[in-house]
Amino acid sequence: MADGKLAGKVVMMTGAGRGLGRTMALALTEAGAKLALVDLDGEELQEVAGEVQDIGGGDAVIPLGADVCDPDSSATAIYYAIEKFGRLDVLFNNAALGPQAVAADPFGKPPKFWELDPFTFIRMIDVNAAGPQLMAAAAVPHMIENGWGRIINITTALDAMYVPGMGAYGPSKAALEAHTAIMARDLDGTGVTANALIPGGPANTRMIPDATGIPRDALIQPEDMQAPAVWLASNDSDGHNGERFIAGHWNEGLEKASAPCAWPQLGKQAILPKSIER
Amino acid sequence: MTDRALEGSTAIITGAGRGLGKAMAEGLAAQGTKIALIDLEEDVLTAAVADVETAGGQGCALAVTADVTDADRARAAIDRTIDAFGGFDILINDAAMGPQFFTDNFVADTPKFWEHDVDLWHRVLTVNAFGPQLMATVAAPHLVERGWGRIVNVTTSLDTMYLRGCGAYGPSKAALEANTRIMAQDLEGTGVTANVLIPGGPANTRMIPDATGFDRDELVQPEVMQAPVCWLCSTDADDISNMRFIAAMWDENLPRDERVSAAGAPTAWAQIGSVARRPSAWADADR
Repeated sequence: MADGKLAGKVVMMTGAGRGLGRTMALALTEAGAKLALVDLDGEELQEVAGEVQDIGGGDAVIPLGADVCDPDSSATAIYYAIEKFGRLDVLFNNAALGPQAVAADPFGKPPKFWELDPFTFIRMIDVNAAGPQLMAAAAVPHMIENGWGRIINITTALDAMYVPGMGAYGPSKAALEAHTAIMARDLDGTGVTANALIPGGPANTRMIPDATGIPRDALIQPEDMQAPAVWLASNDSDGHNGERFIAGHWNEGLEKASAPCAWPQLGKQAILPKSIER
Repeated sequence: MTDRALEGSTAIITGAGRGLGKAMAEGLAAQGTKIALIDLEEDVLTAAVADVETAGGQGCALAVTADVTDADRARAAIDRTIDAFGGFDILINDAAMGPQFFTDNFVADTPKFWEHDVDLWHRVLTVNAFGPQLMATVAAPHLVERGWGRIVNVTTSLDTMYLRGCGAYGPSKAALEANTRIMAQDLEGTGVTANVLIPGGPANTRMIPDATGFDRDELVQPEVMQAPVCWLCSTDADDISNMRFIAAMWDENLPRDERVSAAGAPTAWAQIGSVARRPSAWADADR
């Protein structure tokens, strides 16, 4: 494995216990990376750690039970990863609470916004928007010191950010998308980049419950995330900063599969005093 | 006073103690709307109530001290409004923590995202993105039952949502913008509308500290919010939902439809269109 594209790189994956996180972790291991796996769920996490170990060997993985939106817990996870592997090169902010947290069939029977439990709504914002900030803020000083690094935030399709019936899922991802653009600008020139990666449509994970009745094979498969995830974690993506990559279009070439982060296509908006240059 | 355009209506305005919230309260009160002013600080509220009553008349304003992120306090604030005024028609979510909490000068001195105070970043996200959801959750059933109502969310310019140096300010407003689009879709057919109203650029409020060095006259003045908010809260805007309006581009001299198209656009970034690859069963869903 040591001769893989990601040999020598250490990657942290949050939400690694299942779904997109698990699938990406396996591909990253396959490519030679060492993995720090983060999840809330201890049992799932151990299982995936076992799978990673089968591919990459005994010292290729460290499982870390942590809540990404708890400041102490997230900082501790970063600390242990660096302690174990001596470095951290790539952070995938993949952990998220999806539409399944709000309703069994969020598409067929979408709850109205005023029927949502406020505590579920704020928990979604915390996990999906505050968690990535906490993790990235704890990780980047180390990456900047190394002069190379990656923050990869898993957001969602721009028009999925305002789909009703999914609670704070869309809004929280809109916050993360905007924040990714901010991260990229803050990191400009450091050798560390920040980009967004999305499946490009509803994916075959627990986020789309069976009750939706959508045939599982009509969904985007988690495996579609593997090639772009490995590319983003590698030196091949040097120079790409502040972009969003769409796994569902990956095979159609980089131009089709990428766009700038957030919505700068809509152009300059704010009316500014003459002294401001954006 | 009987010919005031909004006589008989009642509004709840969060963050009404100063800035845009207070300007909107004064504008609406002058048109006859009764106002429940919500803010965190009691002394700020007391002063604002006096100004609003100057604009709208004795007894038109009620001060309610509350934190919009506290579920019990939010509910109590709305109950108090209903007790005092017999109900309400309008919710304006204006309360927000601005860039000034992260930097005195977001032009020249922009802290990096990893330098922000953890608790502050989280607090701003909570106030700006969760507060409006909480208030709207409590308010919507009342408005829907009455069959007429308004939710107006104050967000920010689309390109300010990813302006660096302002911590969670931009991202939190992106979340509220997206949520407004969700609110409007959920409210379709109820007689209640949800729209966004923004000043259109940095405004002459405490969110833009003097340290930025701007000529304060060059900033968007809070009073520009008054005409569009009064119109949005009138029956003339009954058919207007799911839109964002830029107050600085609102021109009362234009005929209605031209005025709306000059200052209005769909909420969020809907112009970019459908980009997600969806299963066919769901692909045609109207957003």
